[in-house]
Amino acid sequence: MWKFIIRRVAIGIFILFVVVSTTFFFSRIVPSEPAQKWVGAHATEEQIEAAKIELGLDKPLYSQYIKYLGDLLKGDFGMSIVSHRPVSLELKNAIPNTLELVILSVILAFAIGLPIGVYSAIHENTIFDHLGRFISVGVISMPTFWVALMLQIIFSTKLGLLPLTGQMDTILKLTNPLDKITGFAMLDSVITGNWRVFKDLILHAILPILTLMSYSLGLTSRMTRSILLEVLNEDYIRASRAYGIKERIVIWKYAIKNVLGTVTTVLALSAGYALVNTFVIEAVFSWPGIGSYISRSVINLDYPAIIGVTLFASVSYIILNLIADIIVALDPRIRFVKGGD
Amino acid sequence: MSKNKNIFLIKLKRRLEALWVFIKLLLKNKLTGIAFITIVLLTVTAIFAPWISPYPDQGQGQVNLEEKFQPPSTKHIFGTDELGRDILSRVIFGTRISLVISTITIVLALVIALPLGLLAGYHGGMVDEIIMRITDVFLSFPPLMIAIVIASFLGPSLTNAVIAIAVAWWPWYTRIIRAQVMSIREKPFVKASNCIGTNKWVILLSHILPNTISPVIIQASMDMGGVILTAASLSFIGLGAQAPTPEWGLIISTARTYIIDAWWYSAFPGLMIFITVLSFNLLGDGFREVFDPRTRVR
Amino acid sequence: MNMKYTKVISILLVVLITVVAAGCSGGEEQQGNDNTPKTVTYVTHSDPMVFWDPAETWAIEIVALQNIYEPLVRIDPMNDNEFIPVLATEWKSSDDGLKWEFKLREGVKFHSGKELTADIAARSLKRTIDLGKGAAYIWDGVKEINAKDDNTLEFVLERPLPMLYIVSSAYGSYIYDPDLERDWYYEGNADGTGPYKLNDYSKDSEVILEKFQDYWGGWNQDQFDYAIVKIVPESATRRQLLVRGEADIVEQMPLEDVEALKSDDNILISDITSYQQLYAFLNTQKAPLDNKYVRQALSYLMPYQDIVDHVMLGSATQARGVIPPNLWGHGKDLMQYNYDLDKAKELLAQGGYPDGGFKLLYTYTAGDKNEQKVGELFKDALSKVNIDMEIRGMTVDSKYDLAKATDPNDRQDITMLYWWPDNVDPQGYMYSQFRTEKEVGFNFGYYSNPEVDRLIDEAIAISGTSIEEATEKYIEAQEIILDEAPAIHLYCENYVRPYRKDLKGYADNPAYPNAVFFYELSR
Repeated sequence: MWKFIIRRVAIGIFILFVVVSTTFFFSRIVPSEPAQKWVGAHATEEQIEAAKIELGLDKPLYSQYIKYLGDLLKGDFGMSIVSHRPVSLELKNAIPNTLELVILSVILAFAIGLPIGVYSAIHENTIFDHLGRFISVGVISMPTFWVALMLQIIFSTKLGLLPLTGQMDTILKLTNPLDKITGFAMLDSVITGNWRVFKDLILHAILPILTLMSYSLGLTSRMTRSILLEVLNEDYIRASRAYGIKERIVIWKYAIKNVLGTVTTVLALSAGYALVNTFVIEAVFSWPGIGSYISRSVINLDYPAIIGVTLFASVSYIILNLIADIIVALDPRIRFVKGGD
Repeated sequence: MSKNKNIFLIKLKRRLEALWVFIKLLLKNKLTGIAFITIVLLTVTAIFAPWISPYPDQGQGQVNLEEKFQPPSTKHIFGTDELGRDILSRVIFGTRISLVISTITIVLALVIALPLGLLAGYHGGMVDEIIMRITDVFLSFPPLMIAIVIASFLGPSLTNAVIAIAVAWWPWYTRIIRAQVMSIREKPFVKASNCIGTNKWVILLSHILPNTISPVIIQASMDMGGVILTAASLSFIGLGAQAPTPEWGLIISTARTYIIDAWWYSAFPGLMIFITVLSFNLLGDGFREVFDPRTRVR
Repeated sequence: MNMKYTKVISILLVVLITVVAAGCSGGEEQQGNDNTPKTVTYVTHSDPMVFWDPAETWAIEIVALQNIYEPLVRIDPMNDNEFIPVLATEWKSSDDGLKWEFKLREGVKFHSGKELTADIAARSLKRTIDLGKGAAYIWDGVKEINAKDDNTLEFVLERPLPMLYIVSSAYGSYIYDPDLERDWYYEGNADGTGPYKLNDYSKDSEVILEKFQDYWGGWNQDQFDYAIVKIVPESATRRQLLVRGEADIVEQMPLEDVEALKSDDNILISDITSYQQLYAFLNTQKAPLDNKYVRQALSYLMPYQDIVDHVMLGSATQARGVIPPNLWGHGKDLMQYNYDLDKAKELLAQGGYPDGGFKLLYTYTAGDKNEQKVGELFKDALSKVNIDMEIRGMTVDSKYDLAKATDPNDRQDITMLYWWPDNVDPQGYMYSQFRTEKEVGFNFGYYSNPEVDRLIDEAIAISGTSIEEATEKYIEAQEIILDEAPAIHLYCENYVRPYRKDLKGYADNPAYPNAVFFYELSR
């Protein structure tokens, strides 16, 4: 068991190293002038030269690389070329906002997607199954950015039910200031008992969560269905049925156990997709998270910022996958099939 | 020579028969059937875009300022955009672009994946280990994320988007090909060829390669939807197609500025993406059902 | 149905209903609460806070910083270039124009409580010059800055300079506390003498400014306690915020939206001529645009009127020459190219391309909808003479990289550039864009003409003493530039900003692009 975990961790570190190195060298090979960006559009040649020295771009590539690795170990992601502030600081402010969306949407997707998947599998090839499958394939076939726009136009512009964008009402922020404890706004508002703010935060989060949820929902129900179908064809289930054990008990006591183990993999996967979808939709909702951050950095070619977000996402993925793998490996009842989708 | 030709014909006939059985099996499911027909229709639309679209010139970018922002009407079924172009025509030409770039992307991914997969599966050992660890790196992330990062480094253009997506996608195929090669390698006919001392390359190309093709084609058709979505997402955030290319994601990206007064401008291209991707995904599900006996068995 | 399953469903339903119910009741709770502070909200499309050090800022930061920091003098171009005393109350120059004295306002305090003195003012400007960042070059030609006494600031010059235009510059002219460190600013701090102090900043979300009680100008109760700069990248969202009254002024609205907003009774539109002019630079060092006739033909093929009418919806004037109409140096009688297909064909034949048949690359800043649409219209027009054009949206960096490629043949054929001045002076338009450059800066036509160079240099040299004579030189240079057509001069745009009708005192000032002076506003 430990051998397995150590091996997984080692692979994780290796992947991180490859990601760090490739993004670094990629960012230096690409013909662009970070120094120009640093000093602004109307800069003179001398100002650009000075900026090169300031940014360490005058040194040879390998020494830049070594310094970069050293800085990373210290948690220093470098300075954003556009905002002139440490990337680590900007990430620290943005990450909780994104995680709030991702976590809530995955939980909701799971709570809705799992029953749909189970129901579909049990009633295979009935009209419910077709409908359930159609919905779950449907939601993963819609472009998330389009879903975001359509939800906005329906619930906010036309019906006026929900706020259009943003995380929190500004005036409320002035009258009921929120103390920063964990950095997670919703959690902080609960801890401090700031209910007006909490309600406002929830209202602002509904549309982005619905958007992010749609893809994860489809993923969860699809995979639950196919895994459950597979399990229901296993010998021990057939045997249980043959013994005349009630169908309800067969499914919810025997079959579901086997499904839940593998479903953690699904959870990891949908959290992953939700995270990457924030890259596309946060800008639509003016949500102050890493998604808005990277979509702007990409347009401005702000390499330290792009690399910072990439590294954060990589670490998240590796940890998610690791946890899923370990849970699966810990459960002796489960034959782990890699690439279960 | 003629004997060879005969064998070829027999083989071909067998293949076609198998294909027919397969299609019949596939179309047994109604949803899959509808999806299949939709895809055929989309392909026809893409090929005959200049003849099908009501305003082919506008579909390709010609402006028509007198008629900007017309809501849907009999003259312009999907309305017109900010430069007066017929959105239906743009969307029809967009079908062409989406289908072509997703096909090119997958072909490109295969071009990368095929040699690596064959090598890893056939050679094994250290080579296999290295190639598989590299695919591990890629497979740890959703393709869209890899594509965004790569495209941002390459700079925004349709070509670069295709490259970025292909780079994000090849590891999946490498894995499939490798697994296939490994199972075929152990088959008696390959072992026999090995024993009689047939050249390694001949075995690889004439025995192993043909047998990897069908699983790869099936996987590729299942991936079309995902690739189209990824390409549209890249264009939407400004890393893909450039104006006036009628790429769906790009159209929506432009349209969102006008979403309050011109809902049709973003609604219809979005609907087109939805229908196309849905059809490919349903078809992919159909494939899976036919090929994965575990889920087919009742 | 299964028991457990029913339970799961019912729990889900309850959760959903609560959420939706919470959503529905959300709309009503906006009012109430009597002690709600008076706020004004200005919505911009991108985060204004890039540079924090007042010595370095020279772009969109002024949206917030012009309210936090103050210069000696401001200029009001809408009022015949009147100079408004801010931190300086009066000024005079010596007869030879080589010495200027500014009397500082008394009793001015920084947000930190520190008192403003001439020594602080002199040292802050010297720090700006010594750092040499941002717009520091506006002080070129200033030899010394001295504090003559507690509230007299003296400038000693190398040559006569239009000093009032310089001290009123939108960038690089702030008076601040020179004893603060650069790092302190980049932690997100600010300390000026302006009417508002920084309350809170959340990146890409908002900048909250709070009124500074001890402001030298004093306060009345109609003014705002808080001024909020809210960042909303989506224009459709900005518009909705304005319509709902959640925003008071919005920036960068697509003109289609402005058109729709005109019918809203609660909204007024501010529409003023700016100094911002759009140019399409033609690569004069690469075939076929190295040919003057082809460049002229292209100048005749640009559909100016369609662009003004349909891209800018009338909120722009077709350019006449390099310098925009409301800036000195502009030539009212200069020639103007207009769309003329026949003339273009004639010129193409003269240039040796009677049947077109070449392909051009047009680069613009990705995301700029106007430049994109201009490209699409131009491409359409070029197709009529069998010229193909690729439109490529690029990030600002990569656009510049391409434009500065070592071999002119690797560069683009056409690139788009906006120009606006740092202070109210035409020098930048001519010098940066059309004077010969050893290394490419902003002369993206790569144009070089010794005669034009000479005229520009002479104009700059005399601009400190005689604006009339300088104007003559500039006009002469523009005549040559128009004939040789290294650039297509498109339009000078209007700054169009919709704002709420109940907002009083709003006046846009084109010398400080996009800035809103919250102190002047009330409700």
